[in-house]
Amino acid sequence: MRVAEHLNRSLHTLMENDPSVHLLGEDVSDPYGGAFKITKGLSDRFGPRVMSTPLSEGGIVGVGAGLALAGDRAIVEIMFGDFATLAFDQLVNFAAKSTTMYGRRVDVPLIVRLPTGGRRGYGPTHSQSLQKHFIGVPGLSVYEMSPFHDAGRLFTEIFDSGRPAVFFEDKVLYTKPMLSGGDGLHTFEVRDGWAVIRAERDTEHVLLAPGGLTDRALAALRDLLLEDEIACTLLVPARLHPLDVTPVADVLAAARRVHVAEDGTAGGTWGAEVARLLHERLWGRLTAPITHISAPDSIIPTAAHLEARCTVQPADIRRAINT
Amino acid sequence: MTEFRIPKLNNNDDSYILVEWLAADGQEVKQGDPLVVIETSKTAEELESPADGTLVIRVHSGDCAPGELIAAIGAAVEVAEPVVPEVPPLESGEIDVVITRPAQALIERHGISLDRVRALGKKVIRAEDVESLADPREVVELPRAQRQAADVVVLSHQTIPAAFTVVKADVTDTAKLTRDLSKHARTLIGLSELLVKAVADQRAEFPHLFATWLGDGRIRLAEGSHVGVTIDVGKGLFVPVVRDADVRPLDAVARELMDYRMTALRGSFRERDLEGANIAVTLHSEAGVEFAIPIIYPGHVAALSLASTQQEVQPGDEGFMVRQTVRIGLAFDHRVVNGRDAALFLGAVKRLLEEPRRWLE
Amino acid sequence: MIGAVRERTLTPVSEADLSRMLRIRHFEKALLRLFEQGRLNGTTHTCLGQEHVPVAVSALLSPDDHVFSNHRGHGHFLARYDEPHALLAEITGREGALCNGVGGSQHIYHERFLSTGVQGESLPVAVGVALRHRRTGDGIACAYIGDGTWGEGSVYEALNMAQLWGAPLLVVVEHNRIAQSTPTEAQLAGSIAGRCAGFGVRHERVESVDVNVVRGALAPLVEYVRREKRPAVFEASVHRAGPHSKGDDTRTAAELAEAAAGDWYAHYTRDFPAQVAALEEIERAFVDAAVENVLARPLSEWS
Repeated sequence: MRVAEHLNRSLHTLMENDPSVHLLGEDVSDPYGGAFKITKGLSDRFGPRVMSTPLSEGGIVGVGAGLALAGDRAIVEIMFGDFATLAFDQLVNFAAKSTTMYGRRVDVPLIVRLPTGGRRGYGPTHSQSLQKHFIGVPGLSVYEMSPFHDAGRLFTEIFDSGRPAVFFEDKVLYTKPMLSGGDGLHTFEVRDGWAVIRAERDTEHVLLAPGGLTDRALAALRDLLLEDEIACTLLVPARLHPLDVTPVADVLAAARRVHVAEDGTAGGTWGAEVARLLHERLWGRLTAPITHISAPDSIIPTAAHLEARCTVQPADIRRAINT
Repeated sequence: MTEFRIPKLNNNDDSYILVEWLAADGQEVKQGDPLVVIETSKTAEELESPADGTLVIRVHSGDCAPGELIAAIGAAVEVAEPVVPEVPPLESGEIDVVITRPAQALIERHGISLDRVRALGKKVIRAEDVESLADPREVVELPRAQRQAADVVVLSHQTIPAAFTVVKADVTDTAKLTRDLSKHARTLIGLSELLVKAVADQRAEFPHLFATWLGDGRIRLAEGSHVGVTIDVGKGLFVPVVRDADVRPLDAVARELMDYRMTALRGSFRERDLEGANIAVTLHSEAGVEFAIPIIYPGHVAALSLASTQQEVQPGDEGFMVRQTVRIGLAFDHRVVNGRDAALFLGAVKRLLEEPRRWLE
Repeated sequence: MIGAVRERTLTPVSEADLSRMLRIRHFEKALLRLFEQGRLNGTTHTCLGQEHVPVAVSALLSPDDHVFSNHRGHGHFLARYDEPHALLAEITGREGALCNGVGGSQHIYHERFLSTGVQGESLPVAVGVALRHRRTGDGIACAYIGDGTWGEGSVYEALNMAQLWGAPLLVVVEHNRIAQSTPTEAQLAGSIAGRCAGFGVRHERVESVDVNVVRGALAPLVEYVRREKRPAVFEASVHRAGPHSKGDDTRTAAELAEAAAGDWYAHYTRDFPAQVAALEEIERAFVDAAVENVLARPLSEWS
């Protein structure tokens, strides 16, 4: 099953099992079913609990927060993750802060889904990866869809946490199959929110990457192993922030080289935060500083040959690890 | 033969899923026959056969990309092998080993069978693994005790800047004494026993030789003379420890060494027998060994060696005389002590061995 | 434009309303005093001159209704809840605070009352809450904003959605003619009425310092929001008799005089001097005692 279909089915199940769940977004209703068809069939089944909204990203995230505050659970789809900037105030100053700024825990079960990333030729305003702008906001969780993680379980986990979350979904990942078991080279294991992808136990190299990098990371891992004879374990967390590395402490303890790959440009990023966290933890055991792989400092151009230059490619990951 | 490749079906996807073949592998198909169902992220499409002929399926199901060759249609076709080298799957359907491309090249060059590759018991086969198979000479794994010894001596060599000094002792008169002592003590007292006791007795005067290097120009002094003694009866090298050998009488030291030799024959040392030494004596009593350079145990400052007794002709009062001599070596951590200390220490030990009367006092 | 609020004669006022207006007045004056004494941390925005609006509104709300307040929200809270000690403890960071001293003056969440300090931010949230009320049928959402708030895009996103989706949302605009230091005519083109008309949202305006008149004008609108499950905007013309926050008033003497003349307090002392004097004595003493009580408490704790 493809990731897009998995997300769609997860939303169907979620809304079927929990009548308090509401979904809002631009063009999410049938027959259109959202720009990426993730919400297909939901409005036909769940009627007024699914609302196609005006073009008001800030407004609809606020409405979602209001529903959440009043006792419902809300999922807001922002058509392109780039537009999350329009909802920054509602996310940072209201939804996230409200969980603590009233002096006691206030639940805000709100998920803002953000189709994200380039490699589809949509150009500078529809291709960015804005994860880094949401890292370290008190009260806000940052998730990213991966082909290893069950989206329905993640949605439930977020709602149960009472914290609002931004949920990034790589737009190319939508077209990829969900993954489990292994690919003949690597085994895929999911434990406590992490996917562990490896050919051998206790590899010297460990790569951490969000779910949207999965296809490129796997391609790099394959070449590294088969061509360069370097076994590297890939770790994919479902929750980027706050990041809990305890479930993969054994994999990290065996590592001598750690690499972090992410979409988006360098500068105050998730990857930098991971490096900070792991340097503290692994200092003295690593044989080199942690490697950071990200996109060049550029907007994302439209033409395919230019876009490829400005997004992380498998060869970039392979080169960074094999040097 | 006609290649059957997946056409580009939309602008969004860079891969599709091959859902099912509508014709069987090897079946005769006609141009325009529905052949295969391809699912994009939005639709499922049937693709038609581009030609008449026999269908030879290359990709049976799963992920596929625009432009990928998924089948050929025509008479017996040769389709290029995919680039990724693969090992035929086992009956379970699981691929048992992964062979890297450099390893695959070596396998082919040396004509090595997959059974031998599998017999390595590794999941990932690299070039170095195949090289080991290509070399006809036997590879043997050392016993555990030897592997441990290897770790210790490597650590010693890597961490201790050792210097070495050797002295010769004349033990002609000591031979008779040891016989008397043994008789009196009802246990074997030989040069080894005398040396262990003689070394232990030097701690008051040479405390640095019994110390532990802490780094940053500091050492920790020992609270007692705990002498490790090498014993190797052919069952591996052991270094049991005679604790507090400076404050115990010679016969007690000798009895403990005898016990250790018996234990080595039975092969059942306890952990506490082997712990806590702060200096070591290595014994090389095999005939003809003139001298030996001991390895300093990590955490120690010094190690002594005792070689076998030699007959020497020396000029005497009335021509020549035959003397019994033995060489005692001292390896020492040059960060802690210098050659002069080593020479003084060895001189003191030598005097105890050469002047047996001292033992009777 | 809205002119100065002048009232020939006020209608008789109930003791409860007048008491509450005076209590808010003395609460705010006490805060300014504490500020001058250096006993308040940060900043605070008082509602001097506007106290009658929330007193008029609150009587029309039920406990099930949600109220969204803004930076100038002490009156909104005190008109709805008889808990001045808890609010003062919140503002001064003392034990018994509404939010353990974390939120302070501008960030209160108590039962169905929530305030936050970003202009216009609460309106979309209020639409979400109102949508739930629409479904459950148990109340409405009422959001206080100012005339300056109409510069924020979120107001229009919210009005649009509220009207589209039939959200029972009452927006109470305390139009005090000034946004911090900028006169309304320098920051608001057209009119609030015109903007509401653009969305087809019902709008009423009242120009009165008479609490009964304000309430009388609002009552049918609240009924409309409740019954029709539609949004409505109620614009009350008021004068800000005090500074924006503290010591930051740049208005001219003439403007200040006009604001003072438009203060409900001036009108009520003119028309009901004995009643005001009697009640004022009680409320001043009450607030003074509350200040003394709260400031004697230990500091608030937050875990």
